[in-house]
Amino acid sequence: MKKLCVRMAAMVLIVGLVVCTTFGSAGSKSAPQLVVVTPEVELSKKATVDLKGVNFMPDQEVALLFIDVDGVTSDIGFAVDPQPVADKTGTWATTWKCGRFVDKKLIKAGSYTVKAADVDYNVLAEATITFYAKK
Amino acid sequence: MRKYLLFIGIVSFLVVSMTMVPMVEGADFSGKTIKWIIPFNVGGGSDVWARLYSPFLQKYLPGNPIVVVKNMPGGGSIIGGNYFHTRAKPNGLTVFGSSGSTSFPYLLENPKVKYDFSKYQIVFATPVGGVCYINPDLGVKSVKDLKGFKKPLQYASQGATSLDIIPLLAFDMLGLNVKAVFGYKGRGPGRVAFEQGEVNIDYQTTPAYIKNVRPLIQQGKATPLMSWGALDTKGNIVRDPVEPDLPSMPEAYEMIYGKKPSGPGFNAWKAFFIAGFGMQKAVWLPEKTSPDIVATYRDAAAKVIADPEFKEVVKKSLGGYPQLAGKDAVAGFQQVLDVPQKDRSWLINWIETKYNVKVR
Repeated sequence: MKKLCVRMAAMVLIVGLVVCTTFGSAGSKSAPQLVVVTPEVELSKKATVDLKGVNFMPDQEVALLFIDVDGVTSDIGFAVDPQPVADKTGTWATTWKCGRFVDKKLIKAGSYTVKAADVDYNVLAEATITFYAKK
Repeated sequence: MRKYLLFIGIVSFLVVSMTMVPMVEGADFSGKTIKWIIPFNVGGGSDVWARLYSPFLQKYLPGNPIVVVKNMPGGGSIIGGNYFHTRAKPNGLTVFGSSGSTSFPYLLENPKVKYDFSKYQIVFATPVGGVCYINPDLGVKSVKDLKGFKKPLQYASQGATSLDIIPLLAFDMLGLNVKAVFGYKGRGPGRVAFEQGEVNIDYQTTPAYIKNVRPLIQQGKATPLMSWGALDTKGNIVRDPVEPDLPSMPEAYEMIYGKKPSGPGFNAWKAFFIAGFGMQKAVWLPEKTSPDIVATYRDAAAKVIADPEFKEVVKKSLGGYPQLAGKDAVAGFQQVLDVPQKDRSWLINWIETKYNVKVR
């Protein structure tokens, strides 16, 4: 009887862990969102993009990834200010100075994907930025 | 009782497994993201190099991981190097891209440097060449004319501890009377200074030489003298394939002095030449990376280098030099690491004495 109880307790523990791992806290909290405040940007050596995030974990450090014109993924953390860290409400905001990417032809006119990830590059949210040539 | 303990053990294993940080198992990178630290700004030589390689590494690393280029500019690449040294875990998910500018402070024992190439595992390396040229008005037609040549020469330099160690020490070894004019921000401004007559001897890395100096030669505004050379797979300095008719620096020395270069000055020059040109850019895995991960990376690098599409990339954008993977890269950089301490000290003393610069 004792063995049976221990086994049942262990099974409950495993099932509980699997459920928690699989579904996390879904339903109790909205998923993180990445918002491009300036979704359309003119191509220029002084171009900047304003980004913000909501529904992130409080105090979470965020890595921002950008996929360039050749399909190469870049961590653009060196070019954003301030470094994106979620506040107590899970919100953060930053500005990306992307002019050098434009100057070096890693950005040309078109739409690009930017991703918000954790420090291990697990992607949490993504959005689109459109760059357009000077009119 | 034994069954009970076994059962508890299995439960514990499952619990621990579910809470562990994800790691690469069996060097399969499926679903993983690899961080490639480039200690320079976007669009620079090392960044361009990483962006040329990364799609092919993604293709050939098992599991096709995403390779993220993480630029960490600042401190002459020391910031990125130190970050790699202190933060990278030996799980195959972080690699470091070094350049000559990263290797030189390490070799010169800069106290700010924490990274240590002797502890890392090299994956592959990319060479570049350098070609030296002179103002035709000086009457020098080839290296042979430099024997006993004592006219004052001026060279536009980025600094005595920069990659300019190679030309400055070469000029000294060849007995040339060269005054280094410091303060130039790169080889581009150096070439402009040459064209404007501010200086009369210069060198450019081979891609810039092909693009910007060959036209000057055709116009009679520059005379090519020598290349620094290229490293063959046996670790010898041979003629640069970009300018096979020009002698390498060791050949130039022999033409002037009638004997092969030797001694602490040449030993140091060779080590710095390999670090700065022969294996200018290299990819490293951190200390304590398991042999299977190292082997997986080297195997992937070999496949990249053999890829016909990548060969075209090398031809078009990397000067056409043979890329070094695995044991060739290990053997090449070992020559840098093996430079005797006395020769390294000789060079540091030479820089400090000749240019009044504090090196360490």
